[in-house]
Amino acid sequence: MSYILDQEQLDGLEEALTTDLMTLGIQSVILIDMAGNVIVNLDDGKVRHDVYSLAALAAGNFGAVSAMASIIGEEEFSLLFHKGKSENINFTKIMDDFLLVSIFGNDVSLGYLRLKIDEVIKKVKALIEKTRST
Amino acid sequence: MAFINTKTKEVQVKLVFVGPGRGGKTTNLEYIFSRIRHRIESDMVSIKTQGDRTLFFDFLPFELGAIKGYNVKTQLYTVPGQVKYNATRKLVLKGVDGIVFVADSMVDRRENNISALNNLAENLNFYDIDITDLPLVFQYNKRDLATEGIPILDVETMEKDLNAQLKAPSFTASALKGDNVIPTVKKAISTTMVAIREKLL
Amino acid sequence: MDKKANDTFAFDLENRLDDFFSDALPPQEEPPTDAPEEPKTDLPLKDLKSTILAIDWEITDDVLETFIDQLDGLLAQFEDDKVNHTLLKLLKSLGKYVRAHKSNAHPDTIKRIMAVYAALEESVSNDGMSRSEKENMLLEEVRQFQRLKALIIASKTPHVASSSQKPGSSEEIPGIDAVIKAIDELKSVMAKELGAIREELGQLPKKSS
Repeated sequence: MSYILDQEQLDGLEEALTTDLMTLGIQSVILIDMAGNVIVNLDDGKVRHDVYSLAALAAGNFGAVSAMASIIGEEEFSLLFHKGKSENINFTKIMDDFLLVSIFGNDVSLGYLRLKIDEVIKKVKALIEKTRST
Repeated sequence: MAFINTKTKEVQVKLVFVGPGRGGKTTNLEYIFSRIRHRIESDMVSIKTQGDRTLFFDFLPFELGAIKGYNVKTQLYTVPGQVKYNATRKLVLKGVDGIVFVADSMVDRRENNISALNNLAENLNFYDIDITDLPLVFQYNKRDLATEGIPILDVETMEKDLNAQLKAPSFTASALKGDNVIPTVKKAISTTMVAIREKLL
Repeated sequence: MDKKANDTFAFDLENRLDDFFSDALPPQEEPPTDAPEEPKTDLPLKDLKSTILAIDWEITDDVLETFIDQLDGLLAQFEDDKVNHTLLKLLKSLGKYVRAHKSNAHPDTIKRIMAVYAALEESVSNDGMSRSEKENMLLEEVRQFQRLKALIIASKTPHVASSSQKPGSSEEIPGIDAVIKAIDELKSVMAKELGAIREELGQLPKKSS
């Protein structure tokens, strides 16, 4: 499935992710596709890591975990989350082609972040689906 | 790094198929799997994109059984060949014991072969492994294209480009047709196993 | 190094590889095994703790319903213990707020729930804690609760506020009874606000999803 996002959609995605997630004070939010390509990259300004490698690994990781789910007879896992000492990573699948990677500290509750992510996904879907109808 | 259980005399080796994108690494494993699937328990695992490009790795484990008191287990992996997946490729190479370098015989892939080999050397370096010390076998794949009128490099050129210093065993092959795929992997397994066993003794 | 042994090994290996990659018998299947059962333990807050941990990971209507039901049960159980009873009431208030607001709840709410639960767990299980230590812990939790409530009120529109600030009891807290009275007042204020918000929501134009 190929998709083309115009500047308006990209701006819309950035805005939605900034308003709903970055305002929680988290480190970064990256919207990628399942091949590891970066679509939107937002951070708190203090990030120094290599986002492109992170994205490729995130996609590979998600792919590996999905394969594990199949092996144990699950269609997919609803939670893919890695807990660090001070930073954590959460992965959320959006439709079949996209992945939202959130990096956040321990001051944000995972449950609450997931609630916010569920809300922002609706907006992301609406924005991306705009392209498919044109 | 081979997993060796001296108590149970079990040896597990990791062989990785490396090479430029779309060179035939996954096709190699798929062919091997089709030949041995009736005698092994596990399935082949492939983590790939919707476009069938390897995203993380393909994985095929099997047991060869007891040989001279050693229970030999082999794990075959492929890496993603695309340049942008270097971080992932490095990850899959961790703990590698032997390499099959699948080179693409197409003329316009000549540079890609060379840079993939250099990239391999770099990634191995990251793990303090010298490519000259690692068991390695070359496969010059897609030889079948010649019969379809597609220009391919001759073997001497490929040997000069890739194998001048390493002087590793090499095979011409067609992974799609299954030509020389098994001999390549057999050679890779045997050179790797012998090298490990030498270290053990 | 025994080269001869290595040579024969290599020879056997080659033979094995030849056999392996030729056609031969298929492998046999292994029967599945059953997972063992886990033993149950007896602690008064065990079920609540499990729900609290679930809330940390995922906030759903089901989990919040369970949370509030469990709190109701525990409230009855701890009726005679003012500290635990009050902490449970705080939890219930916070739980109902999250249930009503979900993703619009104040970001600090979950943190508050975790903190109050931690205090409750301490109070219930720590026999070494004195009565006054427990009361001090409770007072701190109440203070934090009121701070959060003030933040929530501050972030709302003016006309919603039947937001009478706590009459003095946020500063001087003479004793547990006064605290409990304050909590009850808080609860009725929050209930009024929730009602007003629901009304407001009902008046908003409907959006299609």
